[in-house]
Amino acid sequence: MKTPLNEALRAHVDSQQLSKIQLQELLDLQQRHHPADRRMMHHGWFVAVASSLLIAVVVGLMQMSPVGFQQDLVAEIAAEVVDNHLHMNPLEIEGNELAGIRAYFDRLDFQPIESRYLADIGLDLLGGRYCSLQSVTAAQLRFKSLGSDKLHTLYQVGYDPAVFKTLPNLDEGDQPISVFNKGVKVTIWVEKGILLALTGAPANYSGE
Amino acid sequence: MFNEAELNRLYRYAFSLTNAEASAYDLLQSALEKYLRLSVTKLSGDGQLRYLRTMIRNRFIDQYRKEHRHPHQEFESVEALISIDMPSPEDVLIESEQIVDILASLSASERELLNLWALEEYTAKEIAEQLDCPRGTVLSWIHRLRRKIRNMSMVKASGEDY
Repeated sequence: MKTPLNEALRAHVDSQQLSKIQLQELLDLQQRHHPADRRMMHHGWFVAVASSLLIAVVVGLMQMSPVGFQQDLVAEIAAEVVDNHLHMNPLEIEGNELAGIRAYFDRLDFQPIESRYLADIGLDLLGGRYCSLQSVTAAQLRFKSLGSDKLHTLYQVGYDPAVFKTLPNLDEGDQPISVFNKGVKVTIWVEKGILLALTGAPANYSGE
Repeated sequence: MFNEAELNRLYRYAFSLTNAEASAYDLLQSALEKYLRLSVTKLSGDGQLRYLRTMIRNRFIDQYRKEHRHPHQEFESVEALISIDMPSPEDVLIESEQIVDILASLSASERELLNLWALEEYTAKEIAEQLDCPRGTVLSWIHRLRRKIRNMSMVKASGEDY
């Protein structure tokens, strides 16, 4: 007697349940992460205001330096990115749409992405070329600011934690890191499994 | 806070990726810990489920990328089929006991797709949003997956191994 795939799958998967112990562990885990809620219920606004101030201080400190991430690695990436950016080597392919030039980068083991964090900045794509970052083959995309001639370089390379260790991951709620090298600001983040590094992000750039 | 039903739903999703109970629990537990540290509270109930599911998926990819290239990469070279319709999982008939062997022979990305398509019953558009790829590509994957499962079913019926 044959059964529709979804029914057979559901019957099988329904047998996959967390054990009572596992369920209790996960429920306890959630409970442990909400002590602030319980304190606020008991102590009212004082705790709420104090917590907000503490968060503001921590956030402020995190914006001043890449606390919690690999500072040495961030500095190395920034130095390499800025060197390449300042050289302004000729583009190997020109185009205003990433979709149009993506096929050129067929030697990469990833596809260059449209970063959601660049969507609101207002950058015009000019083209791209191959390069490397920390000895890993990367895509180097060049942009021009809308309304000015300022050039920006965006590096994209497959994010391998073994090479790049822990860097802020937008998909996990982290914010990008910005550092300066030779007077050039470099903003670094991981998104959709790709490590991105942008030179000269504007001051109102998200995460700053 | 996720209730028991939601935690089990997430566990089954993690299981669809790992096809191993212990790994599925570890994956869910570590993703939940990270999620709780982020305090994602602005999303609706279903939005929070989707957010955590994405975190589970990203974590799975991070953990396994070094050993196995991200399984979806092999799909990305496939040309998207834009004009085909979403097939129904009900149209694929198998022997009930075959499901264990079928799941064991699918890749992690195929099991994930099967979970989203046949179990969660998301539309191609919704799956495309979650996997961040074009709808046509999802349809292409599903047609391939359906064909693969049908072939397995027919091979099994003829008494051969997969």
